Amino acid sequence: MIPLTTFETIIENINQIKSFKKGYVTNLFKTEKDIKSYLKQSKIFYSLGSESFFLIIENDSFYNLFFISTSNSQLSKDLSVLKKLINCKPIVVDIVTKDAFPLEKKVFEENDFKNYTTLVRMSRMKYDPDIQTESNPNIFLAKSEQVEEILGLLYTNFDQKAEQLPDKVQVLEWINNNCIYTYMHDSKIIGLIIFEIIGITLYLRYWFVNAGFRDRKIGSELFSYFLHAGKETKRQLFWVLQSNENAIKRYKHFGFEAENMFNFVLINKNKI
Amino acid sequence: MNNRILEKLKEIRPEFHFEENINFIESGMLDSFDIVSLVTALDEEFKISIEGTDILPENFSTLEAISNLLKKYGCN
Repeated sequence: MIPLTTFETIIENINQIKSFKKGYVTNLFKTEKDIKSYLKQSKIFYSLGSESFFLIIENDSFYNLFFISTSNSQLSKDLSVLKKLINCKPIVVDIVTKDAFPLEKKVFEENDFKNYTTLVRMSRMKYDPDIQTESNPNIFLAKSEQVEEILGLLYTNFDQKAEQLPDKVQVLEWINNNCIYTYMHDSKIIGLIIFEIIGITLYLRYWFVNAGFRDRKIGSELFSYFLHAGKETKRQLFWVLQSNENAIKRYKHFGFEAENMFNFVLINKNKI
Repeated sequence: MNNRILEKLKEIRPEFHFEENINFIESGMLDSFDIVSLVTALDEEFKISIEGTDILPENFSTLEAISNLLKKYGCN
């Protein structure tokens, strides 16, 4: 593994893969901003196969692996360069695709990876600028001094391997952009909802209510704040664990339907 | 050529109406996954290979930007 020091190294390697003119398979959908954030933290490395480029992002207890290759068969051959890493550390691979049975998933499964979980994307096309929400005296926009509390809640209650948790910089950015609502009880956050608005699209990022306060409509009140915040958008979407049938049922109640978009989260078998 | 580009955009995001005077990225119509899908679709449609240095959001933000990029690769 070689430490990645510049974003341009990725571009150079994309050029190299494309110069073979044999095809292009990838799970790297990170933006330049995301990559540069990892670069600042010195958490990003790369490895080269004969027709593949691997990007490895280091987390506290596991790695995220991204690949660019000329084909799935070549990807399978080149995974051998990562064998030492695969045998030593938990490695998570996200395959985001419109294909319910992607070949990339099969490649990893044949190389000792196993499906850890699957997320599906749900969305709805709805423009509702007149949507109203009842004001709740316990719901507030998050403040910057709450950033550590919010991070603590996210890292305690969400699956870091499956749900791509943010860092402090990202959470602060969301707070500054008024994209986090908190439900407060005795000065503590017992529920929160985090979202992003990009043009006409409203993305739900995280939605949580403390286990001890569920079934009190706190979640749905936060959700109504979320919809109200995005009332000028025309499309609303989020990722949800495919196994979370309860959540999917509730989202359907709000008019959301599963898209043909999957995020297969794979992990090396000996590290599950 | 614009019609062929619009056709590919429609395949990727059938729920949207892509118009000439819209910024597809700032408007939230296309995300990073869609851009990679679009690159692959344009490579196949126009028999080219868009280089990594050209896979920048600004090159896929509008119909005109995509068209100009394809012209750079000899398409018309």
